[in-house]
Amino acid sequence: MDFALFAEQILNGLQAGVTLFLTAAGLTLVFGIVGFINLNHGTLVMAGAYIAAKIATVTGSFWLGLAVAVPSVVVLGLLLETSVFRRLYHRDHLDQVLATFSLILFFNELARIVFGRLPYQIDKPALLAGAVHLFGDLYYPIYRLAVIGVGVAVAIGLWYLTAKTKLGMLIRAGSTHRNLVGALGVNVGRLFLAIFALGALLAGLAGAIIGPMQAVEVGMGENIIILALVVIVIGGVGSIRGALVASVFVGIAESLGRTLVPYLFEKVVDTSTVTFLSGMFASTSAYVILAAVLIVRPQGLFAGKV
Amino acid sequence: MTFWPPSRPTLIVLIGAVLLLLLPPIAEALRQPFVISVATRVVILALVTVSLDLLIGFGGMVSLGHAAFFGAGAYATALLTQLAAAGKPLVWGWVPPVEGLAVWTIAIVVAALFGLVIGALALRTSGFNFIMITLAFAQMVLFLASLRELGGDDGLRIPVRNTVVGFSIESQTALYYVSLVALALYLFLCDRIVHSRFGLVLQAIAQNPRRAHALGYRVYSYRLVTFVIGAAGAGLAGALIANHARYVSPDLLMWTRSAEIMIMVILGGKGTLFGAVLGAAVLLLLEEFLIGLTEHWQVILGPILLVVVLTARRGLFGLLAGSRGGGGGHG
Amino acid sequence: MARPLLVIEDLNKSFGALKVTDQLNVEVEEGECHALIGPNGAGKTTLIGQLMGELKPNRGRILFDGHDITGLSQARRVELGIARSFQITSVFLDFTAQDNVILAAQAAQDHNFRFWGRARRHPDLRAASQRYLDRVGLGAAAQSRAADLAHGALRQLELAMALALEPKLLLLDEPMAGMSVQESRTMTDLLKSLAGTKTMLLIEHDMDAVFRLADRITVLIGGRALATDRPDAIRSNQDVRTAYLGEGDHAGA
Repeated sequence: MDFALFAEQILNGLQAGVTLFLTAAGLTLVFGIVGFINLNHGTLVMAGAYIAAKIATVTGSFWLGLAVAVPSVVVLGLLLETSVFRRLYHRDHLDQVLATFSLILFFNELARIVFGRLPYQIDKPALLAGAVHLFGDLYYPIYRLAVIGVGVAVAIGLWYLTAKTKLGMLIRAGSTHRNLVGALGVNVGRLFLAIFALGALLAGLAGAIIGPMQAVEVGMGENIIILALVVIVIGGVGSIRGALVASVFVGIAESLGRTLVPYLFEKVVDTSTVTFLSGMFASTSAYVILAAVLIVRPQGLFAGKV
Repeated sequence: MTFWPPSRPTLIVLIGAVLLLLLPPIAEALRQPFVISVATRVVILALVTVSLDLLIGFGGMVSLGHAAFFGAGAYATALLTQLAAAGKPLVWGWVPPVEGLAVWTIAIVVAALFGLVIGALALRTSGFNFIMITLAFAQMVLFLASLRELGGDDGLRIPVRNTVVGFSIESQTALYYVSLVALALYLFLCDRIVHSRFGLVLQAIAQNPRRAHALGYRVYSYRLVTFVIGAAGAGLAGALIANHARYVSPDLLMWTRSAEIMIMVILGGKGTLFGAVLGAAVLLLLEEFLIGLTEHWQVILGPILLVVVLTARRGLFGLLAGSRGGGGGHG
Repeated sequence: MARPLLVIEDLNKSFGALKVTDQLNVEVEEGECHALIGPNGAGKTTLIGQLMGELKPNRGRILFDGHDITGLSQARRVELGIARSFQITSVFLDFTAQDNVILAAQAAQDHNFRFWGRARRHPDLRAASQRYLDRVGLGAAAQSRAADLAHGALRQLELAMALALEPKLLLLDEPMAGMSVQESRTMTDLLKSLAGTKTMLLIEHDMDAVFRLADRITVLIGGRALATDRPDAIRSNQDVRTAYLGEGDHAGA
């Protein structure tokens, strides 16, 4: 394998990691400070993707779709928080898992009713279409580079938020000493709402920018949420830093698994074994990493560090 | 403890048992034989639900990967029965028998082995991480089941049902009663376990693992043994569902299946064992009913389940039995 | 009487830069009540953690009844005869007081991978449970759910569970914590009645109780043993007075 192909796979992995991170960051924030497992978080990504894709299809403008989708998802997130989720904060994990699972059933079916059964496929915006020449033989789609850029920007923004602002101070305090925040005289209800809004914003953003790269369809939320949950456990629940590292790690592992494995093994074993191995790496690498991390460090990599 | 008059939970269990025993003749009399097929599924899913209730309700182990063991039992049964029907050997020239007692025993052992390996690793964690690692392992097992060698996404068809002590269970009624016996035996086993010394320690561990440690109990071993017993029960249910549908597919191992079994546990009332049967019955019948109503039935089911989780904390068995359910309270 | 049951040798434990146990040497003789006193943060509870096997020391040895137990699991230590009570009450709240003690009594019997007979109906276990509940004065509350018991009663239950393990050594982590004066006095009498029959390592802030109960006292400051001696000698030890017993303003390291 030449270096260009390798670099391309790394970039693909990075881009996959970034979309994962946008979902995982909100999830881990909410879990870290509120202690709430939200399986339904993937639905917000799906909602963002559908709204953006629908508007882009109807109006032809990706940007309008993005502009409408993100605030819509924030509103949806806030509605869910005030109507359902706040009743679940004091319940055990089991109830949280099941309640939010019920919501997945509802929203998946609702999406089928509203948006139909056919997947949506949308074009990249003209501004970001095409590929750019990086070096050697490597031409890389501008859109994917932009997605990586968004991820970097969000990571920096979240770092600034947690390290430099009052909200961030509360988040840091809350993720390690959950009871403390209430004792500081903070309006806990408003804090939780703010964190939810932030999580929903990132999920909506993730959904809206996914559209041009993959089919928008029912069930996409579940795939994302399971990977995102895996990622936040690997990183250490509540840790944004951990979520970032784990997202990128998982993204790159999957991407390399899919291409490196055939390359490494095609001379050693027969074709069907190669297909088996690369399939195995692509679909289970996240779980293997999770199992390995938890066996060595049951609390996750960055537990206790925001 | 006096047996007469029976306590309310005992009475409910007795009434339920009589209803389940009489169901096939009643269905035949009413000329509704398809009811027996639905009831068989209820009984089989009740079995897997009981096995998960043992983990969640008594062991405090919230596993979101239970479908893996259900699927392992089902696939083991399907593979062995296919070979048996075709007269092909499995290994070393050994052709598996069609006899269920043999095939299902192997299916149970396979599921238990999966439980042993997964449990041994997953039980190093607890809380949220335990939920996630069981889910992750189940996803790996799902990958195995999706292999082309095992039929891929299309799954495996099973040409014949197993026999039981030589008798055919091709008739719906026969399979129903066999499943009912399996459920009754497993329920009896679990009921004895949770009231035994082992069960007392298990429940103590679920309440306060640190204290149990300080009393000298090897917390990990108790949990692991229970996890394996639960996996074995799910494996038996898997063997039965494979016979029921004569077909297995990766659908059996989806994480949504694990969540569905969990909902059955909660609906029936966790830590009640017998409630699991109620939970499985009510959820399956509700699904059947809603499917008849609209193709978008999940849009109705979701909110109903949400309300159930939010309100019915003691579950249906708790509601019916009045007292603190049938778990730790009496005995 | 002079045989040491528990020997702590050059024990060291630190969390990062913080030394919680520093070159500690303590001997607890068979049959004595040995009190461990010291300001908050002196490393008393972390020492119990190391004695029980919850925490691994960085260096040093712990000998119990002739065995080196430094690397043993918590379960093995309990089998050898060490039992603890918790500073913050730790019982099985959903169970009755009787069930709580049954769990301790059956732990002492060491054949608990029994899946069949009904544990709660086992006559020996019930009798043992009742005996220990009576012993701590909780006999009448046997059928109460632990969650419904008052704080003082929970402390008694905690002790009954430790006793039901029939240990050679009792590690008591602030048994009087949070008790009223009256409850505290009852508990002290109870522990006094065990004197001579049970070896005890007692951590306690209630100095009246300590001086009534202890045969010897070790003063712990900053993870180090400042002194080990008889109560009257400790009372008059100038170092201890300065460092801990409240003379001068140096208390609270």
